[in-house]
Amino acid sequence: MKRATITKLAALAFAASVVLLWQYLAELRLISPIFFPSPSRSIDVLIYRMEDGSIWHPLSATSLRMVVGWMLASVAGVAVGATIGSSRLARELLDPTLEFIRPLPASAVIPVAILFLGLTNAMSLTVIAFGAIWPVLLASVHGFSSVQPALLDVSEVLGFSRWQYLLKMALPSALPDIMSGLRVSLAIALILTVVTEMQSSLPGLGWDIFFAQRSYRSADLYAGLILLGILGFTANYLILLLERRTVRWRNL
Amino acid sequence: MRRGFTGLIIPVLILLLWELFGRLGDLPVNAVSRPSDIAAAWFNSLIDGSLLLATWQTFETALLGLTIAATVGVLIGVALGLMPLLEQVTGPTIEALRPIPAIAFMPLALMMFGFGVALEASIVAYACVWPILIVTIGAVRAIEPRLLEVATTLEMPLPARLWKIVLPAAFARINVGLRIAAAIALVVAVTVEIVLNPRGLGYHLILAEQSLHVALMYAQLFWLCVIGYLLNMVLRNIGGPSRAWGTAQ
Amino acid sequence: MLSIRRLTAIAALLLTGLAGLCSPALAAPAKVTIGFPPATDFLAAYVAKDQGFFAQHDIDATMTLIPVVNNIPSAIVSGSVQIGMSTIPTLLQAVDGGLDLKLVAGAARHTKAHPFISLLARKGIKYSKPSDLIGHTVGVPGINSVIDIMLRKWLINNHVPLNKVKIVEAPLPQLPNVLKSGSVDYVAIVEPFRSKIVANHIGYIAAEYFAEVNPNVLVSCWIADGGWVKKHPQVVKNFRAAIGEGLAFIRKNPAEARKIEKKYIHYNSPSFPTFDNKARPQDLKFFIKLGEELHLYRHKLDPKKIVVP
Repeated sequence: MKRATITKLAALAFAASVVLLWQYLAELRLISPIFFPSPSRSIDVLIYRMEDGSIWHPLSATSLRMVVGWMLASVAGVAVGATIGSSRLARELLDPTLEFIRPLPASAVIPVAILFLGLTNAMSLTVIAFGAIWPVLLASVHGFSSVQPALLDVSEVLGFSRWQYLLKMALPSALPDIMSGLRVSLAIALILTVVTEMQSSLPGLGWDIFFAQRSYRSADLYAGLILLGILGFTANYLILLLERRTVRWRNL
Repeated sequence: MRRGFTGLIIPVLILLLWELFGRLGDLPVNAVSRPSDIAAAWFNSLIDGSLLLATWQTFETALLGLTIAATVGVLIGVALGLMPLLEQVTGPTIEALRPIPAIAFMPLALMMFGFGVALEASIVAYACVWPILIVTIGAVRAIEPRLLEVATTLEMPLPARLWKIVLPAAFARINVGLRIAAAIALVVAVTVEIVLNPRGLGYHLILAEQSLHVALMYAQLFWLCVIGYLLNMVLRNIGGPSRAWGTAQ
Repeated sequence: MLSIRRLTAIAALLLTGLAGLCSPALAAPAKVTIGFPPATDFLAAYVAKDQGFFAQHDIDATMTLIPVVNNIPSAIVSGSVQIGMSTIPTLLQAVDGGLDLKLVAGAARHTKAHPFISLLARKGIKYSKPSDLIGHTVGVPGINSVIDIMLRKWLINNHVPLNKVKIVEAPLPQLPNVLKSGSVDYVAIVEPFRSKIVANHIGYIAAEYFAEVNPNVLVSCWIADGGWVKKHPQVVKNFRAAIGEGLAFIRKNPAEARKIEKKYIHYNSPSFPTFDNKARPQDLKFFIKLGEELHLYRHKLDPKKIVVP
């Protein structure tokens, strides 16, 4: 117990020293405070916005978009990944096209998305899903294609249908890979949420940051970044818990 | 041979339908061009050299950023993977910094470096280091503990331990991380160019959009896909095809 | 062996060297990176580069097309660009935000005779008076941009409550698509997209709101970093002179100027705006007053401190 507490304290101390370094660099004024505010100013803004309540709407809007977009990406990614990873025909048909589309940056896709879907949440979610699907997809393909052949033999002996094989044998085997892919996808989903908000003035943290930068309110900008960091940190922590649970179950 | 053809079925089908819709007049012409017009625009930009120059510029900065990220990411990842205690101490800070989008640091990077390669490479490096770091930590942790015990029993010095045991064992998973990061590098480089840096493919994309050359814009999007695809093919072969696809087949 | 001949040779060399150092003709031309967006407003600068007026005035100009104009103030402060484009309100907001930027020269005025910023409505939307905007959404290329704040002033002037009209932002090249797709019913927009929307039957010009608010106002200009201006006062004067020659050229050779326009920004706008390279404190007064009315500024701005004399 004591060791764990010491580790936690050390982690806190490390984080605190990073913040102090930031404060020190900001006070050196190597870069104008217009572009590089100190943590104290940024936190002041954060507290102010929490007090007047203007923080909750953008925070919840961004979180919701991120989660929904990520879920869309995850479901699609695992489904397609399972198909490709376990069927050679599917891989030959789909893989080249998917590999071709993958390098497209979301910022380049946004104009087309706006054309068809307007300045709506649907547009934002589509773009997020488009960009966040790839890590899950790649990881799922890797996971499903690394299933031990012995499991396939066993499922044939037991008379499993393809569905049952995928669900009961391949999926659990691929789960560790899929989970790590899901984590990276979540990070990308957050980034793309921010990018789409910036490009389409949808209310959220991304828009707040973008606007703060334009109005030369650097403390607001960095306050928004801190919030983003907290949001991402929380999301990642939650998915880590999920990952540990599923891996533990798998090892039984 | 057969494998190559199967892969082309879907793209060719899509292109044919697209061209058909275009000729039937169903497409909003000012926003979506026909494949034939796009091909013409692509060909012209290839001949006048602008496409290749822009490609080289983007590639240059993406590669630089990726190299920095890979070096830093693998080094720190190996260290944190081998020393779980260190990972627990630095973990929360890493998890707090990681979700901040690299593009959010663009104003800062612009102030520090001005327009140019350094601006873009620094943002790319920041964006790519996290996935590489995470995957490396995971890969090192997944190394068969007996391999590490063997190294300790043989009393191998640290560099040899890393080079002969840790890195080879972790390589397959690290490679997947590098492939993800390489795609990210290209995307982030182009994004920085779209938003800020007046050089490279993203910049030319915006120029085409703003001067209303829609066909050229789509040609550049396709070109982005092409070079991204080629890049991934190269990376996949470095990792070894058999490793990537496992033994399911 | 210091013979008379050697001494004379050395002396001659020294004198030539000294003369060379003093001679202004040997001074290197000033390297100036000029950043601008693809807009006809800055045609005088394109002409000045193309026809060598910059070179004649000792300016080694590098013309850089910068699509996203919001980045130009940062690029100037970081030293990537020496002289860049701005609109008057953007300059004022940057100065209010703490940046040391100065107005170096004017570029274009928006006039009733040659409007290039208007309110457009989508085909099918019936517009007859400003209050028709109530309950509708208007797209602008930037919140707090000159286009946006003039729109708000126009609504105020016409007694339309601002909270009954929704103003949203979309990147400029996407505004035609946003209008067409129905996300917005109106757009307040600048050339060349203004003409493009009409030409493609997406919409029509509903109101010349900009000209109605102010029939003759300096809207776009050239700015530079305050510290740089202090160090290079002569370069600023040379820049203005070169731009002036560019303007004269445009007046005498409009067809040739059109070719240069196409070369630098890849399109021709339907008509030239009213160019004006002068920069006076009174040009800023209108927008300072407007900004104060809309609560855009945190400080009191003094136009005399912003304009380079």
